[in-house]
Amino acid sequence: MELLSLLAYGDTGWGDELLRGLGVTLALAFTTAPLALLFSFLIAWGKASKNPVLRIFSNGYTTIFRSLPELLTLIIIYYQLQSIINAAIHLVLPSVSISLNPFAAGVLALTLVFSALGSEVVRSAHQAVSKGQAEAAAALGLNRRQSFFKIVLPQMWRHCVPAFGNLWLILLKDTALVSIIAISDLVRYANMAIATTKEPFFFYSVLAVIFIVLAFLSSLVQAQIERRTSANLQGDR
Amino acid sequence: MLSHLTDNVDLWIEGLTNTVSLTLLGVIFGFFAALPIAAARLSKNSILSRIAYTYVYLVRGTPLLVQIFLIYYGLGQFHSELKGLGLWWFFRDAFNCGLLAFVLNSAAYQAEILRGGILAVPKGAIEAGTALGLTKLQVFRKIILPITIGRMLPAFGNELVLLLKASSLVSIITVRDVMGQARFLFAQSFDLSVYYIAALNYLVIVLLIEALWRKLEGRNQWLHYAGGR
Repeated sequence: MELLSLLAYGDTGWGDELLRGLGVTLALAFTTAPLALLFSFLIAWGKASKNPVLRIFSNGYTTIFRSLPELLTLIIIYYQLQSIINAAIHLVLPSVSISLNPFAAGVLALTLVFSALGSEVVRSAHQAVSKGQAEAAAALGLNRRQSFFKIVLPQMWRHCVPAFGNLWLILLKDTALVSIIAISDLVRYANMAIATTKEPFFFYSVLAVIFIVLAFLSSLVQAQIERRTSANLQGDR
Repeated sequence: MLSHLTDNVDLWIEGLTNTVSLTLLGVIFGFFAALPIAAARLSKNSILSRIAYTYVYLVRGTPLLVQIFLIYYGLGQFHSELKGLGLWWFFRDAFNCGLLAFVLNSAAYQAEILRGGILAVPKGAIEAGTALGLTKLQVFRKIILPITIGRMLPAFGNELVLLLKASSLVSIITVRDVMGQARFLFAQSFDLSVYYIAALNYLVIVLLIEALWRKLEGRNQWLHYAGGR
């Protein structure tokens, strides 16, 4: 009971701080997800391209960002981007130096990692939609863009959704890492709370519960989406 | 840039040793911990399977970082109780706490891999074993397990790479793995190239694991066996 009062909303407890941290965590995940989705398709497109340079780039991109620990990618992006930006600014204004918004660095790093993972999902979904579909579309006189957006893509979603749902869960968990580069997310606020209250076990358990709830809610949404994307496969037959 | 590598070879080797041993020990102990969890998950006893499912759900639903913090800092809060139990020497060490977190974490993931693999074992093979008069345990050890492990080889390779990447998290609780050494050298030199050296380390290990796995998978007959009837 005493411990629960530490979660009070307002000046006496850490409820409002944790809620603010949760907001930042969710903002990070919801900003990263659409960007990563977009880049997943672009990278997968590069892998299937006839242009060898594009193909090597896309494959290298995937290998690198799938192999590096997310923490390392995050730190490299954060510091490297900062030094590049400052070097660029120093060319114009030698006395000015800025510090990069860590949130932007977090979004960029997570986007790189998750677009690399997502491009594999897109690639295998594309393979799962049989070639005959694209050929039939071509035979009907659709151009390549029409064939992709009207015929192939709608059928790809069904194969993508479970894997993307999985990636979303991993993304939610990986946001915990951004506390390392000074983003005031859930984990960082919990660490602050622990620094004053000396109750690490309680606050980390609270974090675990919050993440479990997020995962549970996500799985409900995912089930709903899956039902919709495979609607053409259900019902009377 | 390379001076950070050549001047501190001993540090990098210590880092690599820590990273590799954390990963390997985590996967191996995790595998043995996963066996009873997978068995419980598949058991007909609904209480047992529900407990195992809850464990897997809790572990897979929370960030590994939080799990590491919970074990290292969270249990550290109870150090007098742990001393009483004679376990404090274990939990005092960040390496041990990191390893325990990896084992508990990997066990949940590997249990799911095993469960999927066991469910995919051809029924005929199990029936044939029973017909030959093998006991349940013998059937499991001599028939189900080899087939499952063979079939699940790609998933285990994946888990090994994931755990290798995850092992970098222990640098946050002061373990000097590859990532920890990079952070240490960066704090001294403020030279970003140490992180690129660390990146190269991880990249090389991952590529080695992938090459090894391609070899293992090429040899494995169960991977290409569609299952007779």
